[in-house]
Amino acid sequence: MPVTDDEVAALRAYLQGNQALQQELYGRMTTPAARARYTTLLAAAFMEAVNRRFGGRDSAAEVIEYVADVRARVPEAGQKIDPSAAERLMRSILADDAHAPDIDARMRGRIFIFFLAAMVSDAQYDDDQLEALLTVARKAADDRLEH
Amino acid sequence: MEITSEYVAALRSCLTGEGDYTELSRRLQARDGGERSARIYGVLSVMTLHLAARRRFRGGHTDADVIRLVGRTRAMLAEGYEIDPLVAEATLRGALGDTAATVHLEGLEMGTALFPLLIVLLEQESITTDRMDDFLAEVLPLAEAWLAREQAASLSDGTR
Repeated sequence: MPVTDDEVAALRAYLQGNQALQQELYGRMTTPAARARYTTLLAAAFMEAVNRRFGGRDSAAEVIEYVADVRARVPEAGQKIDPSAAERLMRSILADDAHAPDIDARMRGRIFIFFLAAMVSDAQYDDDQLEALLTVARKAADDRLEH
Repeated sequence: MEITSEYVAALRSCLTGEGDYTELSRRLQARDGGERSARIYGVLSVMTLHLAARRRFRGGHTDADVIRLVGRTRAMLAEGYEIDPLVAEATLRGALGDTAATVHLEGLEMGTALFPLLIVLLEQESITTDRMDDFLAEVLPLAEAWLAREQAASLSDGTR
């Protein structure tokens, strides 16, 4: 089953800082399948955001500095992020590496959530631009769920 | 244990790239033994990091400062020399007085992070080759005091 409108709405609410709506919509994802679809959507949005942020260039120095900068903005939350894992994840996307780095699911999810919000905030998307990002992410997630 | 001028010269060589650090280090190991020379050089290096970090953050520091400085250091090295960011952050916190930060770290782990951090801290404080001797002259008494404390503690343990 493809990503649903509610799942996209939950991610949109999160990226717009509407926590109450995001929590409400996320609370409705009660089945493992729905949670898996949401994670796939989140991962796809993260991939798209990474490629946009770094213009598709795999630069170790740029990725390291960005990861440090974002962690430093919210040090308490940043301490819970494994910076090496975040860097490896971003660089595997930029290098178009088919083999995803070995990072446990919990940390991976944390990285998606933490850095996706930062990248979207940094890009200062208006509603249309955010919608465009979500559309691309939804399509990528649907493709992945189909295969 | 005495910190002779050869140890300071070896550290200076390592930090400035002047002189033959490998040869200086080899001579110290041959003269004082591997373990002893490593201990002296280690304490001297750690106290150098301590003083450089205190200078850099003389007005105090935040977690964000530590994270950013480590990020800057690792970005400078990029793929040439890998250091674990969490180890480097803990090493820097330790140098800034947070003794709990380094409790679980091995000396070797900290050593890997120490010199890259030191190079960036010294650069940010504009302690270049021409100012290095003055800076190391300030480090020396701190390192000597540290070693003296260690020796006193070990003697006191031995007499119990």
